[in-house]
Amino acid sequence: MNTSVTLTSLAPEAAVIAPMPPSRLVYSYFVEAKYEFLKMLRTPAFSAPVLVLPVVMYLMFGLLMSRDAVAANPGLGTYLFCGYAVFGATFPGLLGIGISVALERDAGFLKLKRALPAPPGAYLLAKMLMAMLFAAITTTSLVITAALLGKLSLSVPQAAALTATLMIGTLPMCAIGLLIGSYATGSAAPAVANLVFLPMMWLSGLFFPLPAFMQKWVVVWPAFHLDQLAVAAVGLKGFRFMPPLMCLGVLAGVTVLFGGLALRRLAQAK
Amino acid sequence: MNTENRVHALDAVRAFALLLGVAFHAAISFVPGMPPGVWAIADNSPSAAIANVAFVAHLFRMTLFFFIAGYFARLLFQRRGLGGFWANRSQRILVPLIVGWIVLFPAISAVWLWGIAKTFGPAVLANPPPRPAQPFGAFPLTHLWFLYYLMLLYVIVLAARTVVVAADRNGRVRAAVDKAVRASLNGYWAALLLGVPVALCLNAREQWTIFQGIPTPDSNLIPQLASLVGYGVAVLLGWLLHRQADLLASIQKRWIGHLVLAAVATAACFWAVRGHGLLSPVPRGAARVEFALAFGVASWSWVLAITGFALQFFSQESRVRRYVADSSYWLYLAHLPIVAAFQVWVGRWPLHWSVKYPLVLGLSLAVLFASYHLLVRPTFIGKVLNGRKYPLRAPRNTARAAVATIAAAASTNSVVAELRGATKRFGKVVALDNVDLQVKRGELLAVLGPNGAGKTTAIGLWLGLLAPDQGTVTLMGGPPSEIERRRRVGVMMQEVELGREMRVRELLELTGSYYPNPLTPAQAMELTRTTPLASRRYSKLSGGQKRQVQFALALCGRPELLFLDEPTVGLDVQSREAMWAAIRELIARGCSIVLTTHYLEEAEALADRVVVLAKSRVIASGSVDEMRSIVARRQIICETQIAAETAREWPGVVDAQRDGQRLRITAFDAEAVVRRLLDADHQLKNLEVRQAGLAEAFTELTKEAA
Repeated sequence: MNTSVTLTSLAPEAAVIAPMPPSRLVYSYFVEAKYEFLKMLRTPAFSAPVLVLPVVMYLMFGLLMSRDAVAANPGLGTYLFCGYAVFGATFPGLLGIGISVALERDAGFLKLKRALPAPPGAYLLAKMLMAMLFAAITTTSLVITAALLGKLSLSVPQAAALTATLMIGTLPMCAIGLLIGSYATGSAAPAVANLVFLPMMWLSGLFFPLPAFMQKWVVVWPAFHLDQLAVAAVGLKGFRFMPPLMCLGVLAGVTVLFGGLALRRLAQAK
Repeated sequence: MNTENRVHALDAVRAFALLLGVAFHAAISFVPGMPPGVWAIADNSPSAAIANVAFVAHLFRMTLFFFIAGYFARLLFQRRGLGGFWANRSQRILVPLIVGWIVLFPAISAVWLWGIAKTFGPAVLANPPPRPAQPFGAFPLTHLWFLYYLMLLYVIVLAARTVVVAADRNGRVRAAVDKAVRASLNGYWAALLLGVPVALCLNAREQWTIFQGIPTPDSNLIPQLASLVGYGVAVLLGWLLHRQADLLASIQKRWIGHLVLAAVATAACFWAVRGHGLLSPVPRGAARVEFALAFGVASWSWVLAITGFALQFFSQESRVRRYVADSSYWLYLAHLPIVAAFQVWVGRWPLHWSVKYPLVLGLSLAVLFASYHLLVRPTFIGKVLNGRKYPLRAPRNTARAAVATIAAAASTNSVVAELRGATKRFGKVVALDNVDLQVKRGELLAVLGPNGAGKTTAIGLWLGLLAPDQGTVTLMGGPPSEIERRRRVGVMMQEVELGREMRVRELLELTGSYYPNPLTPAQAMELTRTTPLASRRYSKLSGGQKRQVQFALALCGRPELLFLDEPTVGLDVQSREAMWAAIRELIARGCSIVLTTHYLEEAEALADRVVVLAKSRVIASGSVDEMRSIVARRQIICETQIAAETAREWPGVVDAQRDGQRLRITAFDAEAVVRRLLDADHQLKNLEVRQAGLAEAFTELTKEAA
């Protein structure tokens, strides 16, 4: 081993004491995001359900089981499609981030990141980009599935608008996930995240009609607001219950509130 | 229970009454059948449930407030005298009344106009309907009427007091009144009887709506009889109660009874006016008398139940309650335009009231508390309203920051990391106690010590993971929180897991990306002999391999300073030798290293300087040789007749202690001492010679340091 040659390059004089060049800073954000995505992709407990579940559920519940209802009301098919797309976009933000942050906190990973000169926010930005990329993948796979089966008539711009909406719309879910991850322990996080995720999905009225008294309460779930945005993005009439701007406001509020609380918690947890 | 504690409880009651007022006003837009224009807006999702709860709250909330106000009025009068009383009341009641009105009235009007425009369309603002003729004395006091009535009632009560003092020279009248108050509060008579005067006034009134209860005298400066009697009784009872403050215990004892009475009387109120909307006039006839009496009993039993409850449970001082109590005055003064604005804002939203009401209340309280915290508590407004102001932040932080700046400027280039007077506590445990440590450029400092000595805490401070409770921390000439400093430092920590799913090469690429001019992953692996692991996932590595990879990660940024926290734990001999060799090379190239370990041999093999930490303090520091001489001590144990005092005189003996039959000697030159022992006592038995381990050496050192 030619140790001495490499060691020469280790001498402090060889180190650049000047500030980090901007190109390298951008590069380090990029590397962080790349490996965050790869890490999650390599975790089958996360990547298998997030890539498969939305499509399978759409096929089973959205197409097969609601065939008669959709025949009576063609708009319903598109509405259900949007519901499963929201499901797919919520999963990586809420469950993916919630559980991974809790586990990484437990493992001292965050502590090491703080000790290292990791650029500010790179960790969180990488998590967000990871969730957005997964949201894009699930939405695209749903669009392709539905289009191949001839069950959906979306124009390309509409499909693009839906994908963009859900990519942005995963951010409030990321904020909720981050809050869960910043409080729960690694062993509790899967349970806590699911206890938020599943009721939110079922009680937002995305998949089946809710009893009347529960209909009033759908507005408390961010998934309902995201669904309303998705419905607006694909131009579906008759399933709009709230003006999109108000939904956007609610989601922005959720992002700021939950994200803010989570950041505060993470900053305190020294 | 002493008087101080009672004051805490009564403060809490006053705050409750005021906050209840905020919740009450937030509810009004949801009352069904509210004629348009009466309140800022009538919500499109009204609720009978909210209206009923609001009615109950309104039954007693102002009576409760005036009752507590009466108690505190006499307290203040006793403490400050007449002049002091009026000076204080002018500042804290009169000034807020006048200034508050000037500021709030336009704001309230604006919100009302907004609501009217939303209800009737903007055209109505251009052509307002003709205003009905205003009675004499009409003035829109708004919700600040309570300050006006408070001032009026102070005048009345103090005038009455003057008359009583002048007329009742032998004190018989006062004794009789005290006796009556005592008798009424030592049972439930107070709750049953105090409502009678106001019931009589109300019964006689022309206009009396159910919802309003005691009329809110907010639109006329001429005192309204029913309001003056209703709230005057409350102030008077509070005043008289302060004359015999031990009666608070009677109120405390009966809180459950009063609560039951309150529930029954409230039910009776609803029953008396069943079939009538809450906003309709109180019906005439028998129902009116029933309602009036039930109203009086309900009102006073709520007041006494809540006061008793607070005395029972809230007599201890609490920082949260103190804060809320301080803030409640401002909250109530400022709340109306804010609450109404949120009501108007959400008034036409297609949402259920169960969503909108909490939203209105939550947003209003958020705005109000934020305004209190930022604009009132730390400013002169807080001083006027609450008598003192609090700094927004504790001042010590700024002082600490200033010290840190000075320390940073003073640190010379030859010192790469320093702890000065650093103390760190975790709860009650002191992890580092006033520790001074310096790392000089190009040296390897070994920090030695048993587990729990504070080694990892010291490193945590240097890396900015922990903040010291006292003292300063410098890293590369500045605070470790600055990322520029950490870009010149490499780290190997204990008990950290990196991305388990990442390959070794990827970990090196990621960590290297944080540094301006890192080694390539291939270089770093070659240097640390981890090349064969390049494509392995981190989670699949053995413990020793993980340590080697962490070492590679620590030096991949070409650091000037390396922190190695117990780097060789779990390594086999070969890997350890390899790591030592790499460390020596790094030192030779001018890199500075801080290495923690509890193996003395590791320090011996590598260190220029050794610092021993034990029990969170530096107990020794010096060259490796100096440390070795401490640790080279051995213990000799044997059964012998030789006295400890004798042995202590021998050369090479540090200490000797007798332990029953046995003598324990601590010595540098164990061989010579043993030879001498055997010469001196031929009967000597069970001889044992032990190397004093590092642990014993530390124990010795700790004793010496103490």
